[in-house]
Amino acid sequence: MDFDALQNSSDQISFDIDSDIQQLIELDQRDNLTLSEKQDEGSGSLVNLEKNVVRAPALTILKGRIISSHQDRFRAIRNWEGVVTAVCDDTFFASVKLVNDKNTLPKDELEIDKDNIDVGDRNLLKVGSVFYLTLGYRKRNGSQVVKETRLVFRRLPQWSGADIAQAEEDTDKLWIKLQSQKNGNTAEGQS
Amino acid sequence: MNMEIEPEKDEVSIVLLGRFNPTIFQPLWFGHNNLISIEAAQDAELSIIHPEISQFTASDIAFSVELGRFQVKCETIHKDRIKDLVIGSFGNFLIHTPIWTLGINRDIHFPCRDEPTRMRLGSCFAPLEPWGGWGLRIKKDMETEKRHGGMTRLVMKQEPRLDGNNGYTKVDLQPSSILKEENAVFIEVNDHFELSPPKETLGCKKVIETLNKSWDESIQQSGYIINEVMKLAKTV
Repeated sequence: MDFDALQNSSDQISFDIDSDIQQLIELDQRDNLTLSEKQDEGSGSLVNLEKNVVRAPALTILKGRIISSHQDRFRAIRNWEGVVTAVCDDTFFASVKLVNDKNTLPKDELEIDKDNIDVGDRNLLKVGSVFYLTLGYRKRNGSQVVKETRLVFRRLPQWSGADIAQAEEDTDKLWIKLQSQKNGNTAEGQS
Repeated sequence: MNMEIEPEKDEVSIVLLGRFNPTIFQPLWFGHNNLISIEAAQDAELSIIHPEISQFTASDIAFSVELGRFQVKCETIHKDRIKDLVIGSFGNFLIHTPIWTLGINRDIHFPCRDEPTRMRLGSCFAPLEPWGGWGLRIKKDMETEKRHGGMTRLVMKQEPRLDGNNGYTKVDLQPSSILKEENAVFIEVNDHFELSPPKETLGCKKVIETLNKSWDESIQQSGYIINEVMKLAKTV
């Protein structure tokens, strides 16, 4: 495993997230000022020197993202779906891709601290387990912005005996179909 | 699918119609069957546990079970969690539960630039001109009054389904009632599958198969429909 590349990949992701969060915080701070001045039916200019307040629209659009004045809510910034590739003492390694981005290939490799896993989900940590990793921020008490990481493991349903039998039957049917197509092509080639 | 406008709230739910026993569906039942963690089950926020209705939130999933209806709901970013939960519950444990209808629903609240934009969006879907003089008065109020009328609800239905199943897709478009300050719009996409007549339904195998087969496509389709409205909201 190329640990340097892994580290670089993680650094890059962390850097991007920090930058995004900073942008969001700045926008929300501006938004709050608007909220506090909402009762004021002023001219709508950006700076009102007389009252020494800054005005901004209730909604601010930046790069297609709309930040609203709604408070005390988790806002996801990045969401990955990952598969555990190795489990160590305090950390685990995972191959991840951004959710909803089908062009994200090849997948990123991350090393994640086990402390990020909920106690109730720790028994699910094994090679091959699928999880969501969501990074975002939560605004609490109206103004406090807290960076938050959510790591949630999927609890995939168990395969029943009937499921396995059905899968075997489907495989057999597909195999017979492929064989008959192959034989047909061969016969066609010969004629 | 990336959305044209980032929603304030984006949730997906699975609704099943059939015959259920709400007393079974308690947090610890899900915990003991490894459908959620025991810790999440113990920390569940209970609303009602009653022989006819069971409502609680556990592990960021909202559960609501009545005698004829089962619903689970979570944020769309973690959508597969409720699919796993339904398939685990009814595919592994409660396989004889008669279920005849499946709904894959998506609820989104997204903000408009400002109130006039939202009004213009509403007028695109429900033009005021066909309402004659009354429509003109509403239009004038929109321009001059802070408190004014306009489109309050529109429902559009697609039937038959494109995938050959019985059922329909229904979209409900309204001003958001929970995000009033953001001039937000609420869209609910109800992807409805009628799988068998209630009296002929013996178990839930067909529901599990349909959910497995149609889940991704349904979420993609709801995203597509919502994005079409969002595109209009950005340009109107």
